[in-house]
Amino acid sequence: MTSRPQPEADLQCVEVVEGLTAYLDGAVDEGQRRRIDSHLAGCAGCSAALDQFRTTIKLSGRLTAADVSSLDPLTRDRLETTLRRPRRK
Amino acid sequence: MVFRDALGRRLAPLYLSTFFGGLALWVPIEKLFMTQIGFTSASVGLMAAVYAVVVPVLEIPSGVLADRWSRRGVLILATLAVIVSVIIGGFSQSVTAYIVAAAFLGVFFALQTGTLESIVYDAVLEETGDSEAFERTMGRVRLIESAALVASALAGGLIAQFAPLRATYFLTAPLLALSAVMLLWLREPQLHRAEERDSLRGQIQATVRAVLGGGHLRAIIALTVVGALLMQGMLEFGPLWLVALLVPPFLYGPHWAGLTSALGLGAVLGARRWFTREWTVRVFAVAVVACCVLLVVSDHAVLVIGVQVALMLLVVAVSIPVTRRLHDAVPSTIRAGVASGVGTLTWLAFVPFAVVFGVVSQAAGLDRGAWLFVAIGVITALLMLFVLPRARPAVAQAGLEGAAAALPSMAIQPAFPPDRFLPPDDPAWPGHWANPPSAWAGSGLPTDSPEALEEVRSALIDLPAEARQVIVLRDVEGRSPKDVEDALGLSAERERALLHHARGQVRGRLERHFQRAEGAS
Repeated sequence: MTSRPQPEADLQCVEVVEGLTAYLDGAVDEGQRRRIDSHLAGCAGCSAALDQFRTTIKLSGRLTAADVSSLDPLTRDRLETTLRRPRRK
Repeated sequence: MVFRDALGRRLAPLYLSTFFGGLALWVPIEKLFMTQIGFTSASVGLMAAVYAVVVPVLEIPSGVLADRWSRRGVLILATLAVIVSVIIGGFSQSVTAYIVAAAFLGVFFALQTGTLESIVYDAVLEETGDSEAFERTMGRVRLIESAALVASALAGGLIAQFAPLRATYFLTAPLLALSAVMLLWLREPQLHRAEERDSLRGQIQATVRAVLGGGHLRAIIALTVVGALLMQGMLEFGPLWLVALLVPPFLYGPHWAGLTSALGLGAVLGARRWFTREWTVRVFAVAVVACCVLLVVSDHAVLVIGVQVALMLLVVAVSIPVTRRLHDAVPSTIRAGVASGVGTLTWLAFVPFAVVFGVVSQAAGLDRGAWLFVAIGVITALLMLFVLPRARPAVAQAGLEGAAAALPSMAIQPAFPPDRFLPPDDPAWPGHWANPPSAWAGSGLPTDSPEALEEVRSALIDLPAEARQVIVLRDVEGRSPKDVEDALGLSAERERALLHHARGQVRGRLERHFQRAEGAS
């Protein structure tokens, strides 16, 4: 169901997807980058994976730090315990 | 909007019950009354110590009862326990009788802990379909509770000025009965979210491991405990100063109202960003010690009240960033256990504190006993200087190293589950897709919908702290890899591995979200 890459591309899909963050960061050397590029060109599954990564990153970028720093359960527990203290005794 | 109204209507009985239940007229003058019936500093300390042991022990069976039987039922039982407590308390003529009353109050507290939150949580879930409104709704409950506490502190002081102290106990009973009756109108949520209640031993083990991890985490936990000692010590023993200084009963009202509102105001103060700046921390650390010293040397009633309120304010404020540091420093897998463990540790530490304070104050006077506050205050101040002013990521990292020493480091999950690939021994295509993903862009999927964004937000919040820090800095705030490595003290490889892990988790959540959305349409 997916067009499979040429065997001479030499990279496995599992290696490509686990290297996507390094690839997107430009943290791979020139030879590796070319091999990934050519794998991606021939592999629908891996280019879909790259697309999903890009969408994920884009969506994260639309959040603000405040969105993800909402009161965590621990702080909430602590606050609630604190506010309840006077009734304890 | 309709949902919110439905939720408001649903919880109205709970709000009313909370208000009437919070009107505890006897609380501000309790220590004065106890002194009248024969309590000494030593027996007050002893009672506080017994209480500190009983409550955490009772909390576990009460949680099971709430989960297995009925939460509303447990809340009603809790209210009945306070009614019994105030009636016995009001009739008390001796130390023994009053300790029985206090034990019933312990039963109330153990029954109520967690039950109220569970009801609110489940009601929010049932009425709105998700838990987003939980914090806001719980905030409303706490606000109502605080308003009732402050109002009853002032009213209780006034009543005590003109009527026997016992009257405040007896007048509280009908208010509590009203609170219990209100609960009968509450339609109990049917979703029984089984609360994960760790065993006491499990909590302590997790905490001990975290503490043994050393470094900053140890200091953070220590600061949490000493801060709580000062806080609890003020609430438990603060009124004894008023007793010793023979202040008129009506002043007990503002004193207690001051301590109570310091709890709320302190939380607001502690949440300010500037509160953890280096010079601010130094000033406040000195202030903590100064407050404790003033408790030793001052015999001016108004000054003592002011100092106690200020100390409470500071200690509560400190607890806010400290809690955040603790949370950041502990891996999510043991976070709940450590949180409860630190709570238990605080109760246990309060036992010797209460006994020593009581015995010393009894034998040598309150101003000698107050030196214990000075000692704890000095430790608090030193720990504040050590723990608070650090930049958050650095502290979190130090804590992580500490925790990592005791625990296996966070497992990095692949971005796609291994079963989506053909096995390594596949004859034709080892390591290639068995179940390939499909592209989202241009597929007509609602990738820009608010629901998708919310899914990303909640996936980020659910990540372990270390991975979340990295993805928030990189993808949410858009910082460079180098900045993030420097800020968190990570190697380039570790930073990338954490980021990849985090993106993979968020991606997986989105994939399931889109699958559900497709399935629904």
